[in-house]
Amino acid sequence: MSGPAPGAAAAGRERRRGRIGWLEQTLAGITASIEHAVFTEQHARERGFLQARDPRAKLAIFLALVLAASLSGSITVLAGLYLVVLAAAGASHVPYRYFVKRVWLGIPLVAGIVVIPALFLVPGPRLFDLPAGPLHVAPSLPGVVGGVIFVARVGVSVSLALLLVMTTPWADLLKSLRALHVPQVFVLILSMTYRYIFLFLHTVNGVLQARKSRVVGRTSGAEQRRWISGTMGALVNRAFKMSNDVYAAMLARGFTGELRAYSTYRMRTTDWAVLAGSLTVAAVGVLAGPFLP
Amino acid sequence: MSAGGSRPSHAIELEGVSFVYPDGTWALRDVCLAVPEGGRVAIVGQNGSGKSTLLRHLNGLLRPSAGRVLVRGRETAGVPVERIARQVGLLFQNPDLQIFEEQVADEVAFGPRNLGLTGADLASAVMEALEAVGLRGLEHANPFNLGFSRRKLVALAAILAMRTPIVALDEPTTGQDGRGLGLVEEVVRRLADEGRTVLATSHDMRFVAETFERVVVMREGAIVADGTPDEVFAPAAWEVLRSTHLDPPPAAVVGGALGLGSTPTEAQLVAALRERDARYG
Ligand SMILES: Nc1ncnc2c1ncn2[C@@H]1O[C@H](COP(=O)(O)OP(=O)(O)OP(=O)(O)O)[C@@H](O)[C@H]1O
Ligand SMILES: [Mg+2]
Repeated sequence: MSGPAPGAAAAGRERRRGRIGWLEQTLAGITASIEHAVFTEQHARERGFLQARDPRAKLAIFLALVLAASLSGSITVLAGLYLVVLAAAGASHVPYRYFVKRVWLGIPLVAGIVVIPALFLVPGPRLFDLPAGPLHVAPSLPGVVGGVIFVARVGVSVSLALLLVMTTPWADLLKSLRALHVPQVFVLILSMTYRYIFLFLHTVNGVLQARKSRVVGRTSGAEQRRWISGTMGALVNRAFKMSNDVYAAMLARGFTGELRAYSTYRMRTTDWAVLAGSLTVAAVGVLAGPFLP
Repeated sequence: MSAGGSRPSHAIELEGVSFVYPDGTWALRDVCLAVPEGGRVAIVGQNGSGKSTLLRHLNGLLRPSAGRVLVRGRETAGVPVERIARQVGLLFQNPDLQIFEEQVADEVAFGPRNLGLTGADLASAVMEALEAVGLRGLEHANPFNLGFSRRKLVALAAILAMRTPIVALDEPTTGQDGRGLGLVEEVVRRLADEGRTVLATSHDMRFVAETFERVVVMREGAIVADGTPDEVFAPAAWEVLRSTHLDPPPAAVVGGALGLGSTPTEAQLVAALRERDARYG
């Protein structure tokens, strides 16, 4: 069995069978795509604009732009930031369709839950009033504007994060955290989390497949939810044991808790220039935001 | 040599080791085992008989509930795993619990780098190990894109690259095809030739009979037989073997019937059968 293949293959098979619950399909799809995109570091190893930058510069740029996005209440600034992100993604050979779809299809799931009540609860003039039985569907203008800005902010931040992760090998990312004086313990926990997530996803996929091969008939939504919640406990347990084992295996190879660096980086002129440019963009965004729609 | 001077030099000594998992499972019961420097010992037994638990005691990942573990004459109690790791390399049964780097070469370099190897020494340790398991040319592959058997070989290379005097292999043959099996056999032989001590668990009785000089049979956490392959696979011991759901290798059965002992080579078997053919046929 090879790494990402089983997840992807299983997802495909499930889609063809057509009577698999969306929950399982989403899980299988997410695990397969995360594994493929992040874990194989397929894009991080390409020769693109961002891949060539010093990871420390990239991390600093990322932090500055995310800060700008979260401070900004202006849709113009957010749109501008997103354009910068798209341009950088293009220059780094990150496939647009994949990049755009991943982010904006995923966000409604998360942000929508937070935003939808706000659309109706925020006081202000109503956009329209649609009577639906005893209820009135009447979103308020400030509620909708707030919702759009919230979704845009999340979208831009997630895009930035995805771009950073996709164009930087994980080990380099961790090393640059150290360079920014993030405590060693924190970096270690992060590095363990990464291993842990991977193993966790594998377990999820394995369990789903094992279950699939045992469940012949149709299962109801309620049954599926019960199964998922029951399984989650067992999975967390198993993943915890796994991460313990992985750590044991590292100790068994003489690991003393010190991350050793393999590639050494040097900030080049381009890195400094890109860093300065991004910091300017972030500053302009934050400062100009209040004067823009 | 130890201070006493009378003790022969042992790579590994287990003295009355018992181990109970936190959930109350008795995984080892009063195990006594001494392996001389340069010894080649196979540990066999049915699933759950305690083989992996035993190996995890060798580098201190598990500590005995009772009894003592000595590595090269020194008691391991109180010595951290990462220090014992300089003496004992342990191949995990499940390679996925061992592999975490994104490139085969990085994975194999992890151990020796922790032991302080750098530069050309590190590179040659990695290349030599990859060569030994037949994975040269896959240095830059992502281990997780390789199949199970090759992931297992990556994990094996990662242990070999540490060049420890003692090597413990938990089921190195699982999932290997003929070629992989041959590579693993070759690895064990070469380690022995270099004077290093090898302990391995396996369910492949042919591999065990042909590659090891001593076989330890475990059942329910205890050692129930311990001897040369000839002794352990001899008809007299089959009952003990079968009590732990192991079958003697076919060669031992045929060899026993032909009066060739229990570890005949293929060539000896063929010759004996030919002779019988000629006599009766
Ligand atoms: N972490 C654990 N917690 C509790 N019990 C365990 C744990 N690991 C193993 N055991 C139990 O200890 C006993 C010995 O297990 P061990 O893994 O050492 O056997 P094994 O001989 O290696 O088996 P296999 O051939 O399947 O690898 C078994 O009964 C097993 O269920
Ligand atoms: Mg085992």
